[in-house]
Amino acid sequence: MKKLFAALTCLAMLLALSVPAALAGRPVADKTAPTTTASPLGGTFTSAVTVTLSVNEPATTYYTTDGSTPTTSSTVYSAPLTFSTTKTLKYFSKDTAGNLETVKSQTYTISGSTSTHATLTWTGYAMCSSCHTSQAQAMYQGVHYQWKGSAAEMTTGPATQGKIDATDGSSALNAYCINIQGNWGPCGACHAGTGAKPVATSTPSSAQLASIDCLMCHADATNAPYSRVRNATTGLFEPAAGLDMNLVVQKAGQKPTRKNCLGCHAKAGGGDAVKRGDIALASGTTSDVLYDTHMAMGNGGNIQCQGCHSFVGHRVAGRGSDLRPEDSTTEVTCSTTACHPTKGTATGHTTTDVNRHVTRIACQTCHISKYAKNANDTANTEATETNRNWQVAEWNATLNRYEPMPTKANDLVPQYAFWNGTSWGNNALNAAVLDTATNAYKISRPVGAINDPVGTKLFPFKYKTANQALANGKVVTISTATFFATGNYDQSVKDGMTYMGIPSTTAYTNVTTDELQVLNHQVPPATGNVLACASCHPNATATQVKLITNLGYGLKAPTSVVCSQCHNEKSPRDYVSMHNHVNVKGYDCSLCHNFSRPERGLKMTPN
Amino acid sequence: MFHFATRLFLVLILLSMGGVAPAAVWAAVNDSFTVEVADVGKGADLAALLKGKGYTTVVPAKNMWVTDPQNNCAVWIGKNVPLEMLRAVLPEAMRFNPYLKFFYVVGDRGEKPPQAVDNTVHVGGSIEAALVKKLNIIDQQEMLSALGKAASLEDLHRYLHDKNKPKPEEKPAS
Repeated sequence: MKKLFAALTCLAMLLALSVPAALAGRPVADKTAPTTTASPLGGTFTSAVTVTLSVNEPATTYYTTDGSTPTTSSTVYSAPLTFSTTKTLKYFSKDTAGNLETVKSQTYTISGSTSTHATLTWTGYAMCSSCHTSQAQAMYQGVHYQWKGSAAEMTTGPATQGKIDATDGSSALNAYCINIQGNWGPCGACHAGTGAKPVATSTPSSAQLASIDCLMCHADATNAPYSRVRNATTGLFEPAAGLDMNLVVQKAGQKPTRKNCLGCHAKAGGGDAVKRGDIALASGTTSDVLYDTHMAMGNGGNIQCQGCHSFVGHRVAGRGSDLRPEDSTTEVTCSTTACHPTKGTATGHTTTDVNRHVTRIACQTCHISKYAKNANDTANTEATETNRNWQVAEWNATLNRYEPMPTKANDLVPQYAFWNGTSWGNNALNAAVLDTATNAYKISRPVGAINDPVGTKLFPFKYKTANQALANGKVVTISTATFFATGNYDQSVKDGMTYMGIPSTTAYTNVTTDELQVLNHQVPPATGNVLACASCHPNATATQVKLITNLGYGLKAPTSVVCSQCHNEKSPRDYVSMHNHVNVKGYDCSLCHNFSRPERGLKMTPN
Repeated sequence: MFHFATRLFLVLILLSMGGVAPAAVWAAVNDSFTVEVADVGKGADLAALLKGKGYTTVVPAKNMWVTDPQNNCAVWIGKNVPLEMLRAVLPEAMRFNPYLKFFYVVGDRGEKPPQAVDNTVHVGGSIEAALVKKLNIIDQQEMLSALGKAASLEDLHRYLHDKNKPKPEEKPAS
């Protein structure tokens, strides 16, 4: 018995030892996606660049260079790629276990005129326009230089409008610094010139062309950074001391990068992310795809500003809804052949319900659920300004001056409005207009309505307010110079009234002004982030926007009237069932609402 | 032996009191005034040095106007900041930022800043503000000389007021 027990014990021990060994010998399922690395990474190159893709395990790498997203049907990588013109390389790998890597993207910008630039010696700002005369002339007339331009997309004001101070109704107001008057100096720090105010002329002299600072946009911000300082005597800009300006100008033969653009556009309104709400310095540096999947590096699209805002003749496509001038009549669209060619069509999305939305709902509306997000890899908060109170002064130690008190916030839910691409604006010396919906005086508004023809769409906007003065029915162009020096709001208002031709003894009131600014950036990946149906439907439980309460989607008459067009009055059923009138029976929206959707070919009369 | 030790102890006590009392007074004075140093160039080193000398020193958070030593080349002097403190702070500030070229007493043109500003010397103000105010460049050696020669704080303020009188307008090329 003892022998049997000992034998059984030995057998059990052998089994116990052999099982883990046997398990260890079995292959473990590979669930890890491969990692593909591009070398060099994307960037700006002065000549053709050869790119190698390497994978950390046996795998097949697929890629595209036309901006489209690669699939397993795309070209298989087999040898280094050479780019002699600017290309966006998108790639991913699939390992032998079938694991797919997330698509990565690198943009290789090849600057064109290197051969000429390579031997240049810096002689001053005039050297650019002496060779690139036609480009300088085009730039001189553009909005980036003149700070005003065609107001063809404005429904108010003269034919030419912009930021530059003027008393002819062309000078824009905003809910930030209100108006540029008396404040050219600090504002001009972001002007693409050498410090002098732009002079509007169709025949600029060579000296005037030489006052364009081409390096603000064309300097190689990575390999030969350019910075400028004011000459303390003339107030004009000159290169900062210690720069190798020969190198700067030799490397300057390139199109603007994000660093160039964001150096000004991210800081609009007086600081990082202050004005735009969807643009910050982080837009050029982050790898946080949840912050902005288009612009993020790493797993993001790494898209440069010009990827969407195309330039022709130094005129840029795209206009914020609150901006008065348009630089180009070219529109920015998501549905380009390189980006989202089918998403604007009636079959571009995966469900019929979503496809029905695309003619009336802008992409941004569903794909930007919040703005002023905080990128997860930057020190700044990227908070945006939501209110500026000129009645409360704060001291700015750097500028040795008072400034109005701002309120800032992150992660804001947009406001929504229909926009047909044109805008309404209140400019300096215009009569102020109260918006009874917001109980604030309007500074700018997108133009559009729910019952507009096809082309008008629902867009998301940043909502911004300010506490300002109103006198003689006009928003006072407060004297920022007085305010900055003294913090004395009352005196600043009086000086502003004097500028406007209103006696300074005139009584004024303090009012709220507001404006809407369209949101286009900070789009996260669609999966898990795009708005769901319940965000907007039905009205009672909607979390993002109340369509009936706020946007005019209510019934045009009581149910006793609306229902009895076809049948006896019925108790309203749930949202989806009620819309079977449209989706199943084919009746146009106008039978029940104050708007129509003729593009859908629905029945316009009851039967 | 005992008497010698007692005497030595008393002498040491008296010596230490003589040294400590003025230091305490000076520390109290220093506590009333602040040096703000812009976070550009060697600003952090300057702040550490001044802190080591007993001055209340602050490096404010950066903003878009805090960029580099060349652009942040102004010194805003609070009107109550003592002459002795300026004599200690400004030469070090110039050593750490050789681009400092604007020196201005806040309130010299009737500004009424918050009270704390009167007790603060801000090193690294923006050139944009200096140009808006149409301040004049003051050579560092000249400024150091004026600091040394000034018989009183009012004397120094008078010097800076005269140096910063706006010059006739120079029209920039357009």
